[in-house]
Amino acid sequence: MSSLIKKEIREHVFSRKGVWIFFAISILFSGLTYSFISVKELSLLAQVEVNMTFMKALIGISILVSIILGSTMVSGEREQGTLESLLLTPLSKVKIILSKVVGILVFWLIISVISIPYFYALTYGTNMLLTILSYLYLIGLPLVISFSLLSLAFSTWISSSKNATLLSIVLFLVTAIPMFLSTTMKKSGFAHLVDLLSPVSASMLTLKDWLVNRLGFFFIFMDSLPVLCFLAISIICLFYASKKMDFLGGE
Amino acid sequence: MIKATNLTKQYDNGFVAVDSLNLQVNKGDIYGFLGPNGAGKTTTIRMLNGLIEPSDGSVTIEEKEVKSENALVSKLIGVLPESHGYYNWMTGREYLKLFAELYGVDKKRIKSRVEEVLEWVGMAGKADILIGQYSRGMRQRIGIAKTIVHEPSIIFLDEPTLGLDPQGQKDIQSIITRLNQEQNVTVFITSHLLKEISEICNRVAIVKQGKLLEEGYLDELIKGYRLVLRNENPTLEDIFFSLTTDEVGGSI
Repeated sequence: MSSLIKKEIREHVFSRKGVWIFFAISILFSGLTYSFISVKELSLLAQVEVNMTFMKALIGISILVSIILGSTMVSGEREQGTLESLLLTPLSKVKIILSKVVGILVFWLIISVISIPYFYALTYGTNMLLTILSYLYLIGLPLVISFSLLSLAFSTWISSSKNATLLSIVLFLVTAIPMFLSTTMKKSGFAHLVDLLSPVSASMLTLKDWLVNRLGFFFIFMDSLPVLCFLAISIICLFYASKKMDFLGGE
Repeated sequence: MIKATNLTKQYDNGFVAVDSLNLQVNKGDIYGFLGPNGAGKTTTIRMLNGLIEPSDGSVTIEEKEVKSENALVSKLIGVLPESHGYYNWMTGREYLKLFAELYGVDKKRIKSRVEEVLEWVGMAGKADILIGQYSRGMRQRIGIAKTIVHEPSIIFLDEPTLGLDPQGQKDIQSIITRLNQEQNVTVFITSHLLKEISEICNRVAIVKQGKLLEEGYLDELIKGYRLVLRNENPTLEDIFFSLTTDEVGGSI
């Protein structure tokens, strides 16, 4: 299995595509950080707010990149005709999928490492860096991984990479909708339900309660429960999808 | 040895791709599996190597049930699928090393085994070029090298010479024959090139619409069809067309 993991990392992380994505993300982070420091209105924001905004941007970008990566991993192999050969090896389907999960995980870990110097600059003079990084790896990581696992599951079920990517992006947008709703709208009807269940909303609430309200472990745990449930659902979906994986795929 | 008993594949829409097929391929055979397009050749190969599950019937390879002992069977067989893809960003050597590792070849032996198979298929000098830069013939050679890198006793080749020029076809035929004669590898091959099959196979089966029409040793088939075809020297082509051509005059 280690050889397949190496192959995934080489193909997706240390490839030309991977390096370009890391470069683009670095440029984006640099632009954002520079804006927070140099633009007059933004520099007036409280440091905690600046860090929250940067964290939201980091998680949003990470989810988008990892779902695009995840949704093309299996269907991409199917489209280029290499999945059949992989399925013919003694490796189990679950192991083939797991190696792809490791590939995504390594990709995200590199993005998170790229973000550390920017967080260092943005939290300079405060003791927030450790809290920020704890949030990033304890809440951000499960959230990003959940979306990637689901997109991998879509990629396993659906024969076309484009359709799997589209479905993954739609899922992300639906769960992210509450972020764009006003406070009044969030309190009413369907929007309230989506806000309550959305792992993206839950992660943002956790961020606020952790950084701003400085609530205790129990409240933070309760806030992040939808994220953890989402992770569990994603793992079950991917496990089921990997068992059904075949070289033809469905529609 | 490959043994298929009552092998059937019926899809959800009711289409029967393979219908109660009974086959036995003996050790050391080069077994040609022939049929017009849509006869169920690829489906049969996929059922024989465990890639798709039969609706009915069973397959054993070296007396191991393909369905229940799939991981074990996959080490005994090598498969070159018809629409076989490659990692174009890898070199030929890296590609073979990857599959040697995936098939569990002893780590100490991987390097020498990769070199061996590269020599076998005549790609030793081009092993460090990216697969994306290979010609179709070179890709097929690397595909065959991948098929035998873990030293299987049986190989399945689905249209291995498809799209190759005459020299490429001849080279692949020669590799297959040498593998059979020198390494005692049993070969199960499908091809549309009847001349190729009659040159390298000792046994053939002819299928149409998922049903086995004829099966046996090539020389015995030819003897048997002398009377039927009223021809002193019938070729495999004559037998094939007599069995698969419908009354309207074209094979399906």
